[in-house]
Amino acid sequence: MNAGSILHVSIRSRLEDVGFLTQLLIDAAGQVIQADWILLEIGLAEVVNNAIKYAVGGLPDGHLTLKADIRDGLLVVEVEDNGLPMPSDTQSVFERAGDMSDVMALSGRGFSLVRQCFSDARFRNEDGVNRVTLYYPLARETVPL
Amino acid sequence: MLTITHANGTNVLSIDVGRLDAAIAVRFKDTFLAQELSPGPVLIDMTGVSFIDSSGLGALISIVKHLKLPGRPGICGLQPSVKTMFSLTRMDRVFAIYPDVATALATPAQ
Repeated sequence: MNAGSILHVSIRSRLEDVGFLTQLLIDAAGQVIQADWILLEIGLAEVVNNAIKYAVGGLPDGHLTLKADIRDGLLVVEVEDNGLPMPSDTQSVFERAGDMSDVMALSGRGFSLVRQCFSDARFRNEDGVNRVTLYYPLARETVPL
Repeated sequence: MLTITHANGTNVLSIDVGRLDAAIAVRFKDTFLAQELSPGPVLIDMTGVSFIDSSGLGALISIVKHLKLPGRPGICGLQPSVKTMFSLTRMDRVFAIYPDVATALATPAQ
C-alpha cells in the first residue's frame, strides 16, 4: 500500500521553536486507519522528543521527518533525522527498558512508553540518517472511505 | 500557565498549558517552584492539560517531591490522553485521582 508522509518538521535551532505533532496529515491510500490514537501520540512524542533532544536539537539544518505506511496489517511509522548519530547500542538499550516500577523516577520512561505503545521498534543509523521504525498492529478491518 | 486558589483549606493548583510536554516542562516546574503555598493539602487540577509526555510527568513528580506532603496529593480533571499516560505509568500510586475539583474537595484527604 502506498501511504503518504504524515508529518515533516524542520527543526530550526531551538527546542522551543518546535511544536511537534501540531499537524497530523493522514493519507493512507483511501483507508481509515483504526488505531488507538492516544497510544500512537504518546509513543510518537517520546521518539520525537529523543530525536530533538539528542540528535537535531540545536542544529541549524536539523530535519525530522515522519512517514507512515501500512504493511501486513501493521501501521509502520518511520521517524528519521539528520542529526548526531544515535549510539550503536540504542536497540539493546530499548529492548532492556524497564517496567517503570519506580513511579517516583524523574526521567527514564521514554523507551518504556514506546514499548507499551507499539508492538515493536527498530533503531538504526544508516548513511548519516537516524531512523526509528515503529510497528503498530491495526484493527482487523480498515474501512474504505 | 498556573493558577493557585484556596478552597476548604486546600491549595488548588490549576494548570492551563494545553500540552505539558518537553517544550515547556522545565519552565512549568520553575514557575511552580516560585509559588508560595499555604499549609494544607494540595489538589492539582489538570482540566487545562490535553496531553502530557514523560518530560511533563517528570516535572509533576519533581513538584510532588518538592512538596514533601504527608500523603498523596490529589489530582483531578484528567483528559483522556492524560488518563492513559497515568495508567501506563502507574501514577495512581503517586496521586489520589478524582474526576473533578468538587469531588476531590468533598473527599477526606488521604
